[in-house]
Amino acid sequence: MATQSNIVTTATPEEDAQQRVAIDRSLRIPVLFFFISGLAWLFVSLALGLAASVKLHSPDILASLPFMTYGRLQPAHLNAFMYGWVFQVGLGTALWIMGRLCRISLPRIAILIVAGILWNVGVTVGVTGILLGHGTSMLFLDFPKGVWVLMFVAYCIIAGYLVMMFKARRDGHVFISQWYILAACFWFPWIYLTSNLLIHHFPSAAVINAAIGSWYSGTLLMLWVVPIGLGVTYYLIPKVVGRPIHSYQLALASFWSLALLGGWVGVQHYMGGPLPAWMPAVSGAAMIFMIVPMVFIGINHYRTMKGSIDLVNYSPTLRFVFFGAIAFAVYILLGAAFSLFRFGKIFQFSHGELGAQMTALYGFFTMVMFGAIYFIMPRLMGCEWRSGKWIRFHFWFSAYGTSAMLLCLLMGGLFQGQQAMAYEAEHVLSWEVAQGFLVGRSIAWVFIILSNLMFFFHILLMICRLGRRSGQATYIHPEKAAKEMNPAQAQA
Amino acid sequence: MSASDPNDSTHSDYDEKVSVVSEHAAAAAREKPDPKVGNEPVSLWGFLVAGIAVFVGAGYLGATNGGYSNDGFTFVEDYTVKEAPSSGPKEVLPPFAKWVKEGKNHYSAICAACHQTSGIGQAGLYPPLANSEYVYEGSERLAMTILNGMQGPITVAGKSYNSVMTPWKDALSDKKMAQLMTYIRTSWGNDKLLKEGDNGIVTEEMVKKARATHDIPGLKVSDLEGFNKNLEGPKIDPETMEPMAAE
Repeated sequence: MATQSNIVTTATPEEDAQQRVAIDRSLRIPVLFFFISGLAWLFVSLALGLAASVKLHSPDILASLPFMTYGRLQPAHLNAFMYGWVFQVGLGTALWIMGRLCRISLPRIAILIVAGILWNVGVTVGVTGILLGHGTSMLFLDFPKGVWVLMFVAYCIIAGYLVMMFKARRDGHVFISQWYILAACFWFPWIYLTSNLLIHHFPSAAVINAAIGSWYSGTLLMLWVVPIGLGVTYYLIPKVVGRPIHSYQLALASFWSLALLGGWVGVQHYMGGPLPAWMPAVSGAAMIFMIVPMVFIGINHYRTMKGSIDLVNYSPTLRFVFFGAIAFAVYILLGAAFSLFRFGKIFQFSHGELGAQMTALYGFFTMVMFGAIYFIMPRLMGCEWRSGKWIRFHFWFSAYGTSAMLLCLLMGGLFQGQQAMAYEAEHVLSWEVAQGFLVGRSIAWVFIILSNLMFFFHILLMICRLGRRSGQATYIHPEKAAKEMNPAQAQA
Repeated sequence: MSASDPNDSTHSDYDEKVSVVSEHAAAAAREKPDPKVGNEPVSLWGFLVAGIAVFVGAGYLGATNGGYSNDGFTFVEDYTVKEAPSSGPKEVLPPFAKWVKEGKNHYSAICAACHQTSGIGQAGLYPPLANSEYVYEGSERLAMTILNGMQGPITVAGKSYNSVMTPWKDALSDKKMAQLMTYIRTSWGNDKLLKEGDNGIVTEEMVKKARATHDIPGLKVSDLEGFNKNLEGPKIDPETMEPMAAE
């Protein structure tokens, strides 16, 4: 990545602001497209997730409908969440941040929108296919054979836009967020193409297919979800607190250690399984080494926020991003713990693994993206969020929902895993012991859905330009902000 | 608090005189400049924590990689639970109990589906093995039945049964079948009904002989007539599972 340069923009603050407005305007349609279609998929995915969660403890509900079985609902939910919501909101935010950091407007968007529509067609066909029983039962590769080509082409076009924006950048300075977004542009096609070709078109032994599947679901998180989430975090934290990122060296070290280690993770899922021992061992070690970038990133974020930590009480963006940054650390630590044989043999194939995944996908990524949406939408729509109270509602229900979900799945996984290891015991017992926690998980889903219904309503008003007409940002606690915030911070 | 106070978020709406352009640009105009990167020194404790993580990870990799061989499948020896975990020191079964326990495993896997775990069979279809004269009277008839299966009606303990039993000679080795027969003949009260001097034990050699002499496809109950005796072989001491010394 480019060396750190200290190019000082010669433009006046007014010219700077005008430039930003022009960039925002040119990106409005594509970013809104990805946000809106992403949110629609979030809605679908949350409904599917709740249904799957309920089916796990009350399987008799609507048992006569084949598509209402857990075996179809859960993969449909996870894939709709991943490819419908996570990818689209991530790409929309990445486009906006790339535009801002490269200081270029996007003059031609038609092909980008076509690619976005293609992507949505792919997700629709895929999710419907899973519900009709044509899923492949490989985590995050569940879409019926062949859909991946459509998704791959659409992704390459969208990523191509990001790369072209980077190549045409006006600012010589390359910021950390650009490293991560650019890297994710190239990493995803690599893992997606490799996995799909090797699993669907050039299959070898079935055991190797399972290993490739676990490698894909591990690297998908580590080489797409994590870099995009971190790229956005690296942009928003210094932007809101108005201070530079603490240390360039730490950022560099954490980026390259992620790049070096991220491609190795995943196969530890099958530790003790019928694979050569070094495969899960290398994956598990990579996951433990991942603590290194996590610590460096944590120090960097914390030191950047230090002194402005109060802003978490006012700025919706910072509040959500702060939560996401903590969830990131929790996810990495859980992943490292599950890689150790001592914990792994209990949590392997248990609810606990899903808990760690949901912490990455919701606790970390989705919360950071909510923060980004709270930052971006007023700039795209020219109006402010309606109510700090609604944002508080959204935050707390999401925060409690995702935390409760993690706790329930971890505890349930602990009981389930230990029972599953009991000698000569019936397998169904391992599900029955976790039943109470599965009910808890459904309740956590209800929290998350309530939180997002509030958010859907709020963002619908924003999309219709029915936000507040004001030059003043909406704070989480407007009255307290008016009294306590110092004017220099008020721009957040 | 005046209307021009930047912190006055309660007084929010614009007056009509404010231009639409500046209003729409308000969010972009008020924000801070795009972020840059500082050059602060890296804190030492960060390296310390990272060092510990690397140390643990490398130790893990060293302990579990299985020599990077493509033949070693399970990297930790005790991964699969082979026996029920017990709190005390491991109990070593005496030879006879071990022989019978193996037999019980084969029984659960093969026979229990029809003859039931407790050997009571099923009325009208599958004859019982508990308290059955075909079991306790002599081992030869039992061996013939297991090897060749049985077709047609049979009367056991005064009740009649009629079904088809599949032959098991290909599925069972001599040793497995000997263990299985010993288990059947010493369980569910059969051991009390054995003839004087018969301890119920069947050996591999006995099964081997039975296999060689009785190959009767489609065996019926009439074929068993005249074989109401024990298989030939040296008597076995249940204490040692070795042949008894000649008296």
